[in-house]
Amino acid sequence: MLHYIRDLQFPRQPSADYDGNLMVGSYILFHFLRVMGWDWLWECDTQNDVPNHCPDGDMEEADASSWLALGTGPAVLTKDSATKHQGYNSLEVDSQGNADDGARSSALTSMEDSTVYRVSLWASNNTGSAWNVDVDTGTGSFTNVGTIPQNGGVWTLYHFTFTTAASGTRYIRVVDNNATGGNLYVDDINIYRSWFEYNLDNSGSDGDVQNGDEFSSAGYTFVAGDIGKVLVFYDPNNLGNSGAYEVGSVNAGNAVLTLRMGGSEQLINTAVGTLEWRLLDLSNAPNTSYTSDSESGAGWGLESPHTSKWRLFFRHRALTGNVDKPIVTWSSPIEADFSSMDGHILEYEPSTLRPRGSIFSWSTIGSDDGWYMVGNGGLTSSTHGRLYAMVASGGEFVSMALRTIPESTQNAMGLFGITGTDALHTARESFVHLAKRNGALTGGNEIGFDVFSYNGACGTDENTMPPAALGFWNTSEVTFQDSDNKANPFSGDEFLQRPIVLRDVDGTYGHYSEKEFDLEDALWACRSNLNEFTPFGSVDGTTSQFTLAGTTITFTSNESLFTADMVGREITITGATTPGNDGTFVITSYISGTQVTYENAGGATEAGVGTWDVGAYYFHFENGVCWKWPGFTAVA
Amino acid sequence: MAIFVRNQRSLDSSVSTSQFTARHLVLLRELFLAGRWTQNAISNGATWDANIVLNLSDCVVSAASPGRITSVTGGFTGYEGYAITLIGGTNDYDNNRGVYRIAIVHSDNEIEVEYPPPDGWTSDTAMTGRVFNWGADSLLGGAEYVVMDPPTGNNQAYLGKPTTDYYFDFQAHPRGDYPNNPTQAWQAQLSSADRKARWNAYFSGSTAFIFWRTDGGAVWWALLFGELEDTVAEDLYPGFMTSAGGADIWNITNGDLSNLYMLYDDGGIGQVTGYVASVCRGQDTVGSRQNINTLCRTVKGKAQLVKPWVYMAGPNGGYFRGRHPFRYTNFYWEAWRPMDPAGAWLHHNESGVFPRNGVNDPRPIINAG
Repeated sequence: MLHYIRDLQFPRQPSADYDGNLMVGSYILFHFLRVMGWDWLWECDTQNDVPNHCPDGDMEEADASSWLALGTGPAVLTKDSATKHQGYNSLEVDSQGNADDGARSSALTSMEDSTVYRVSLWASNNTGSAWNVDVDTGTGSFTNVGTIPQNGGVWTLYHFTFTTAASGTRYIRVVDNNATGGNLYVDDINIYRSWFEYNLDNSGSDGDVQNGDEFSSAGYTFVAGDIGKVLVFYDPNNLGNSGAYEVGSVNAGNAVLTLRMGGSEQLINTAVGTLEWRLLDLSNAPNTSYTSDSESGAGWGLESPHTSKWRLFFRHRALTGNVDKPIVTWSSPIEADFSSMDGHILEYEPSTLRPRGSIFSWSTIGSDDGWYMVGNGGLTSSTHGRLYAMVASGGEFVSMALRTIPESTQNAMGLFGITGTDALHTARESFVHLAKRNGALTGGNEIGFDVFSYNGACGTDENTMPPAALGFWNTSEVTFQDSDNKANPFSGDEFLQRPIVLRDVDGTYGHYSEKEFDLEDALWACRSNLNEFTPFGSVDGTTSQFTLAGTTITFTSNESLFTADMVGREITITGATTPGNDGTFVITSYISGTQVTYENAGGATEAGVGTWDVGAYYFHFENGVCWKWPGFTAVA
Repeated sequence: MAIFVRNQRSLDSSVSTSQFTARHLVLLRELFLAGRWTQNAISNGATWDANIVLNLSDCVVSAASPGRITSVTGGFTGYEGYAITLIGGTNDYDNNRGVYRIAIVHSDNEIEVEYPPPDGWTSDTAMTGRVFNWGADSLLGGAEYVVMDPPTGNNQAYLGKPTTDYYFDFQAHPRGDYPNNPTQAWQAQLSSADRKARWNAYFSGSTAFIFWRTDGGAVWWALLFGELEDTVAEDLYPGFMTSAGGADIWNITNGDLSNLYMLYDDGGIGQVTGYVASVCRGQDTVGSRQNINTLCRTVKGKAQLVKPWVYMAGPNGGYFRGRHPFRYTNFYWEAWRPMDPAGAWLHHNESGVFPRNGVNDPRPIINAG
């Protein structure tokens, strides 16, 4: 099932300036993926300084000179290339059995005063007892922030929190405070100010949809102060429910969501009490207000719940002045090792950082080595951002799009992940990373196959990532996306084609494999002169029969138009003799081209009259770019 | 099943250009009849029939005698080098139908032909055998012949000999209403150097594909009548004709064969050209890359074969209408490369892939003689 953020509109960000909308979109997408079960991998908080405030936090320096041996022993510190979490080394801390034996970092760099920092740390502890993790927040003495328990030598991720003092030099250390002795292995220590995982107002795993547009939590009572915030939640079972919605009002402790759908359409009520949710205050999102170094280059890395565990990284690129602020994106089709220092996937892994020429480097972004999403309104004062996302429930792929209002040419789209398998293409080989590439930060409309899908990369079974693009059926005589294109004149049917992943293994733009993007039928190309940002493709018919059994209606159409993928979509029925047969219902099963079932206890058995409609199979962004759509209308 | 004609050749003789044009047209008539197309209209019928020197109804072929055709009635003597059209029969097998060059006259009742079916005859009796005189020059200017495709009865092929001697005309009538509603016509023009030719053909359902090579300038000619596939149900006349002549005609996504002459119904019936689409990148909408199909040669060792979409240049806007019945592949595969282990497809040249008659099917000979 596909899950969407459907046109979440938010005020321009930051409110006093502009160009931060895409960053806010990244912030919301992060949380949407998290409630969908994507695993946190990494964060960073700044561009102007190092992304990771712990020197040699990834333990990839050749020796342990960045670490100070502590204790009576003292402990013996070495870099161990055999026992490691990822990369080439870990830090092996060999305690001599003294309670003060351990290892201390060099001074943490570029720390802000009186600020909350997060620590992520991987450790393998088979010493038999827990070790302390302590931080000197600048006071000159260490405070315990947590422990690394005996974990049987299984590499495990631990998280800690501390707040820096008003001034001073900061350090982190691990200590064998139980004086057990033995070797503790530590790797990938990342110290960062969190703009993502911990930057939220509330969260839970106890949500439900009620009354069509309300969200309830068993453990949290929504209050008036939540109005204007954004609720992100995941409903794995009901098409169109998941999303990110502004809290428009509060009703008896429930958040009343702004659905941004036309007519009387609503969400599907649930009674599970287990929906994952997060409540976000967008005013706290990283939005590049030029006043905070830490947020300007914030970034995140997530691991897909797909069995491949493919990995996706976003990092905001801070540019001074009122210019487009792109998001730099990179990925790997596998569970690739990466550096905790900057999130970059390591050189021996397949990733978009190394398909051509030199390995991507943060410092060279803007030359020719990055994949961007760009789209903030350029040098005009965009007043609103409108966010769209489409994510496959199995973690196969994610796509994000940003629209600016008033409409400008600076919309954005990116698409990353698995496009579908067949006999000749494994999941790895159908993996694509599609975003605007190279140093041209602006130009053209960023939602268009000629922009975001033109110069990407794909995976291979050989663990390389050669250039790739999306291809389309076209001719030199009459181009597919010409504005004079139209529906088939014989039938009135729109022609939609699945984009084809073109593999350009030698970089000549000349060779490709025929692999349609068919996973979940998610992405389509239509003629470009359809209405922009508009759902289309409703299926309509006339009613033949209602048959009520219990609370279930078996609905029969005069036309054979139903398809199996309509299950979960809403059918709207009008003009029935019995008023109770009219309404909007969720299709629960597909019987045949003429019959489906749905629940309607208020219905009645009768010969049918009137019409039915299963709405909006597709959503056209612009320039022929379409997503499969869950059936809802949209506001203009 | 399908009907194949492989590497048949004309007499090598000095004839006028007019005569050579006539030979082409008369042979085309025979090919269409062998391919199960049925005659709808004929003008100057006597001149067409004057080329048939022998019309037998008791021809016999046997799997045990490859290449041999016998007839109790007989009369083959003197017709070595002529062609025989073999159709019908007790069982009327596709495998046997075709036009064959008589290589040897063993007796008045038995001949042996060149390039019989690659896996031999399927034994049959009571077949019609029409022996055609390559050298006749009987067609008058204005001679016309119209045949209908076998399965749907909708698409008609028009063959004509205009008054200008060295021309011949082709067009389709996709609504089956000759002489009304023709597609755009194609006119081929022979040169005075064209004196001999070698012919190949493929017929299956509504598809008729005939290609030949003449010696004047070593030119290939191709003629394809057919129907688009995967069209909408409301499209009642998806028939097309395409044709090409030149040294290099096989790129069906860019060459002449990529232009499909059809009819539209967009507020009125009229002539329209469809174009075979290839896959291009998003930004290559007006560039040159989509013109040259460089589909990947193989994926995991398997040659890529694509069934392309066809785009219509309608007067009120273009649209995709259906798929071409043939295939295309990587532009750079060598000419005449078999494309699959089953022997179903043959790469002609520059991406065009056309049906092949099994693994034993001989490749087309590029020499006209």
